[in-house]
Amino acid sequence: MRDLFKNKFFITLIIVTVLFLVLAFVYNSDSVKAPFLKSVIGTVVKPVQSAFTYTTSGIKNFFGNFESIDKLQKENSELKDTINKLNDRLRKIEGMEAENQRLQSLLELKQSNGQFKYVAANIIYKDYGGWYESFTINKGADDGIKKNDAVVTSDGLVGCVTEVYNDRATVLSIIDSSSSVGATISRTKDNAIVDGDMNLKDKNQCKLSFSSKKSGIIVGDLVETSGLGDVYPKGILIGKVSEINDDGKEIVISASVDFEKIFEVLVIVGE
Amino acid sequence: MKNAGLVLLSVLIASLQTTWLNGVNLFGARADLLLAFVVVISLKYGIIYGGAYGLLCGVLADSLSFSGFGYNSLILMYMGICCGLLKDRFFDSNGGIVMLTAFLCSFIHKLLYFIFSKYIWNNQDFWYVFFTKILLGAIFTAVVAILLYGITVLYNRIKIRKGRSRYYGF
Repeated sequence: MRDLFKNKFFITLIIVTVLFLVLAFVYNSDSVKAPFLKSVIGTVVKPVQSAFTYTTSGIKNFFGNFESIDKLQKENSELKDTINKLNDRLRKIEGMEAENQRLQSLLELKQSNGQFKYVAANIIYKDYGGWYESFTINKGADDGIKKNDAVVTSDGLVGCVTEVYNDRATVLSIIDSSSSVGATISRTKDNAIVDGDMNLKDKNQCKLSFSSKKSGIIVGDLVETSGLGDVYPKGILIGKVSEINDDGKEIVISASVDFEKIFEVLVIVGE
Repeated sequence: MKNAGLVLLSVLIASLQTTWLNGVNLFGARADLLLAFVVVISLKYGIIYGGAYGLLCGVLADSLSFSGFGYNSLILMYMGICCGLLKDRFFDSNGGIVMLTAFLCSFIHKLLYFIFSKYIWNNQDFWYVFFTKILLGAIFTAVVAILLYGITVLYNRIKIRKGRSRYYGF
């Protein structure tokens, strides 16, 4: 046993373990908002992740060109060149058109809700472990973003800001199992709570629950934020009722935002 | 030089996992690239490298994850040490051992994480997560580990061949 404590590797192991247990205790306590080590490492890794994210479309185009060339090899060389160029242009135009539509709808949302101040942001990367439905955006405290700011797209509610750094922020989406949002059924005006669920998040869905038993909810009812709780402003669309099981005890809603396909978001930074 | 390359590779793998490969999943299960990397490094270079790169990859995973800080750092470090110990004391690495070890490490890592962070506190449905995220995720990680191991074997062969060419003056 004494020999063990003379072993440098064993001593280092104990020191590292104790150090990380202390760090875990300090960083995971609610009083620490933005862990320093996370901030430093995030800053180091961010350029690499940004490079990966922004080159994705380039690589997709690159492989897309190969596919086109394979098909066109069967045709004559003149047509091959022309079609290849046209396909390339079409792909770029389609990409621009899709981006234009997304930005247009974000602009419309911004104009139709003039009472709010928005900050537009791009998603840089998503949660590492796959356990949480969270992602990091490229705007942070320098742009006026604060913890608990609501995040939306033109389709509806995305989630809220949970960690803020100077140049980026982490957003927890509403379909995550640790998320809870005060909601109202648009048609009946009943108050409810939308909770994320581990089993439903992969289907872009969440659970709807009521404080007391309610009847009269039907499939297709729209669910929006109630404004209770001081995190989410009132009247933002969350989704619509898609399943009602067990005599109305278990209600599933489909989120209006497709979380697999969001690239840009708007953060509501104030009124 | 080898260390600088491995550190850079860790950062690249972590970035890859959180960007391009984030959407790659089957029934919600994803491969854990950093864990696969730690297993391959530990089984190739032994206990010291296993511990050091396990800790580095764990810190990276914790920093890029929404979950609290510390869990990945400690568990990847201990997994690196255990895998390194296997290599140093019991047997040399080969494809089968890499795959089996990566599967077991990923299975334990995900199971412990789920039990502590989700099942106890949030009362989630255990079996759905067990079969999709944990079991399937561990299988994916094992497949990725064998691919990473294959790349390292290929890299070493090329390096040896180049060394021989230089030695014989080709």
